[in-house]
Amino acid sequence: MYRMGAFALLLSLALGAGVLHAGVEVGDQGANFKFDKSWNVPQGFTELDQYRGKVVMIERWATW
Amino acid sequence: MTGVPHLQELTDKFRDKGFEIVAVSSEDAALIQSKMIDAKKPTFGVVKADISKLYETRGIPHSWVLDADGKCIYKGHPSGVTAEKVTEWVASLAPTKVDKELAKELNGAVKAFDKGEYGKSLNETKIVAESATDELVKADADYLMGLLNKHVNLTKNKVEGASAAGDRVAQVKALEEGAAKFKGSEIGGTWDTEAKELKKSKEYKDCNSAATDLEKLRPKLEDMKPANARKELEKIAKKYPETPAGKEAAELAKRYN
Repeated sequence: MYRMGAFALLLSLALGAGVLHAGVEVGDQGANFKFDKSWNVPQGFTELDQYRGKVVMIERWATW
Repeated sequence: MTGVPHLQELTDKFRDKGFEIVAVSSEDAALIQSKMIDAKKPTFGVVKADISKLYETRGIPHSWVLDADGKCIYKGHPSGVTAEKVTEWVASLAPTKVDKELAKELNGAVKAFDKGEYGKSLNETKIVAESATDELVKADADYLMGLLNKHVNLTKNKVEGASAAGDRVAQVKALEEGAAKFKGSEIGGTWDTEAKELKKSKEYKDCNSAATDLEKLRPKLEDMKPANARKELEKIAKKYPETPAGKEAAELAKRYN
């Protein structure tokens, strides 16, 4: 019974995560994140929220 | 990575108008350093962070554009972020540099503006505006006053937005940022006082405590039995019902049934 409960919880978490962290869509408020390391960002900037007042383009990229 | 020239071009054209790029990779810093920074020598922002859960996408590269209030106004392939679109987006921003030659009487005010010392700039612009007899100098002072007003409104909008959402923590932050930018001026002083007063209020303390409690609890939720998770969340929701974190806790609690 507890195992079934745990399964239901996992399922609801997975579904719930879809609602809470469904990625940012047009019209949504952007999600803040902290920088683990940064290059060429404005002085003292360590997280996305500091870009308020500017237009900021977030690009996800990879070296591969 | 083939898109680097496009990002560089946008940066060269629009950075001084308030447009910034944050190119995010979750790979090793050493790899980012060698394959991007050293190899391509970009001047735009490059960041190491894992945002795969916050900014979901099926394919890379992918991009999001946020406006001055942090709202998403574009999502799609980076090549869709054209110079025409960016021109439109930055048009409404408060400029960070004075974009034309002004009368020499305003040199000090312009210098302060370009350094982001809007309080000092505002004070000096006011003096010039009041004492100038030359119409051209007066017109230039009005122009600079207009740019400064955009920055005043930016802070006002942020403060009002946070206030409407009942988020006293964000409201204090916006007031403090505005006070720092407009240090030495009347409006800067007003905002500083408002921030200090608000910080003493019960509402602010509640917002702060609720957010702190929720952030402490959040990472533990997954390992808790659902009934306990719900109980802990409801505690926060009940103690701080009017705060953003309290409301979020109430929403979260519904999932643990």
